[in-house]
Amino acid sequence: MKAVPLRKCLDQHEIEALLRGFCSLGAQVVGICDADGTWLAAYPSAPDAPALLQQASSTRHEASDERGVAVPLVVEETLYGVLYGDLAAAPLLSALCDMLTILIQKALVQKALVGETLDRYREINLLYRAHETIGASLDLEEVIRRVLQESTRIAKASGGSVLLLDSLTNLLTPCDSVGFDVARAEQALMGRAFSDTVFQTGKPRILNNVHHLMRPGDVDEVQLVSLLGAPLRSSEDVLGVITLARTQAGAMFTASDEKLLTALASQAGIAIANAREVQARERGLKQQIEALRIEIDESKKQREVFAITESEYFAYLQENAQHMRAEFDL
Amino acid sequence: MAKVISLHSFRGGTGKSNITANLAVALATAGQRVGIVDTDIQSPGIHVIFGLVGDRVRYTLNDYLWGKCRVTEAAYDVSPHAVPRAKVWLVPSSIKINEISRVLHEGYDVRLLKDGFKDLIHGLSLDYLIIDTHPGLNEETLLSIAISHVLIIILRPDQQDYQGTSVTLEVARKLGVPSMFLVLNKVLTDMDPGAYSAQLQEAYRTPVGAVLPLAIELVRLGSSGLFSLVEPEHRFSQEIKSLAARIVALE
Repeated sequence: MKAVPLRKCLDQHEIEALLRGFCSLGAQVVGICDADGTWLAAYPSAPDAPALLQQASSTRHEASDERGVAVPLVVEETLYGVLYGDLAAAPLLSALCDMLTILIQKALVQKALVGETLDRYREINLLYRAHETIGASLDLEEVIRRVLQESTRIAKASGGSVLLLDSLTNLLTPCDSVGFDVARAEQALMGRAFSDTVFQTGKPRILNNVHHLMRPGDVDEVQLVSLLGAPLRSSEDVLGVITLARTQAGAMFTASDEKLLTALASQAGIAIANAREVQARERGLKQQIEALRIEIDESKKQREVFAITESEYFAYLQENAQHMRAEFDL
Repeated sequence: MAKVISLHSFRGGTGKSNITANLAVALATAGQRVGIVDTDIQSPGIHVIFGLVGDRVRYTLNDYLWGKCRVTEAAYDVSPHAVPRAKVWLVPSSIKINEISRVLHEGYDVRLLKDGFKDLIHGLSLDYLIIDTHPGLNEETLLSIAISHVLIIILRPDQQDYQGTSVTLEVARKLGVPSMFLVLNKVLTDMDPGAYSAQLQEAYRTPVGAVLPLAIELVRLGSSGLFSLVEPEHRFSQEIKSLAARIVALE
């Protein structure tokens, strides 16, 4: 758990009230300082015992002299501060230390929960923005490009590739990539094994410390440190895979990255399916227009029309048509 | 003021009789009194759609043309029971082989047709007389086209139909037919009707009245009934209804 300054774990007024209460039990001087030696609260005033405080702080053990006692406040192996009391307060300091430890632990849990809530809020915001960006286009190439840009941005990846299943070859085929060319690096290092596994299982996957797969000659060329892949889904169908990479030394993908990419990939899968549908409809429409191409042989038409209209009967009809129609109006 | 509507196709098998019957019912449903004459004497068929078969038919168009009866005596009330107050009459052609054969051998005075149409309109106080013509262009179909206020040309998405339609349109223009519509029938359901309509309009410079689907439901019903009454919400029925409204709206 990340260390939090003591002043952020404890309420100032509550501490002061607590120290006053201890003094009423017989102590003359009681104080509490931060891990860096700054007094948080002291009663009746801040004691002058820097050496003792320093000793308790550095040794993380209780220290005492002829005037008082210093007790380090250690929670989960982290030094949060030091408690000081005169000799009359010494028997009570241990109880005070226990109380403060409980308060710090509660505060830490609370802050962790707040932190986690904030993280989820940020994730939701990121996904919402990504969804808006990806869904703003129905052009397949544009959708894939946006998917890659948003994914690499959100996952702080060095690059990413989208591979879609080619219905003719039944193979995963690279469609586009941004930044570091993951598809090429993966191909050089392990064939298509990582992306194929994600595609076939339909589950996300992390592969950190890729360097253990590398041969000495690969290092400069491939540079891969970690891989993260997620299936691109539309309903029950897996359309392909999005694979991200980090190339900085020690840059690992975490379960949180995997969760984010999975959520983004499910949105991306729907967007890709929609764009494909639009593309198929446009193609179908073009085919229909082609199928409906109306070709009229004008010279043949004129010959046939002439054969019909040259007769006396047609001339009679032509001359009397209007009159005949008018007869029905009577 | 009655209007004559001819439905024509350059080739057979376009679904002309089916469209004629459903259009007549759509017009009648809109409150119009409608008469139909089956002038496809060589291969009559529309009577089946209206269930006009057996002893009920005493006289036919053939009898009128041979002077055996007045034309109104050959007109049968085929108003659909499902549509109250709708009035539709049908003058069928004979389905007797010897009578069809006699027409083919002896012919008839096509000018009698015009008089018969006139008598029918006045005798039954019709708003619309619909002529279901024989495919192709012969004396009888040319007369039907010439006397029509509205000509509806039925075609399928087929190069031969496209070519034939261009001939019929040219002839109809020379005869000064006031209003013409193209109706494209038997269009595969996965094709875009809007694209077809635009292409037809562009190629023929003639309004497209309807683009009708080749639906499995239509095929299943065949000629055994009026599809627009069986499936009123179907695209076919809606397109026919829309065409009827456009015809009624004509000046």
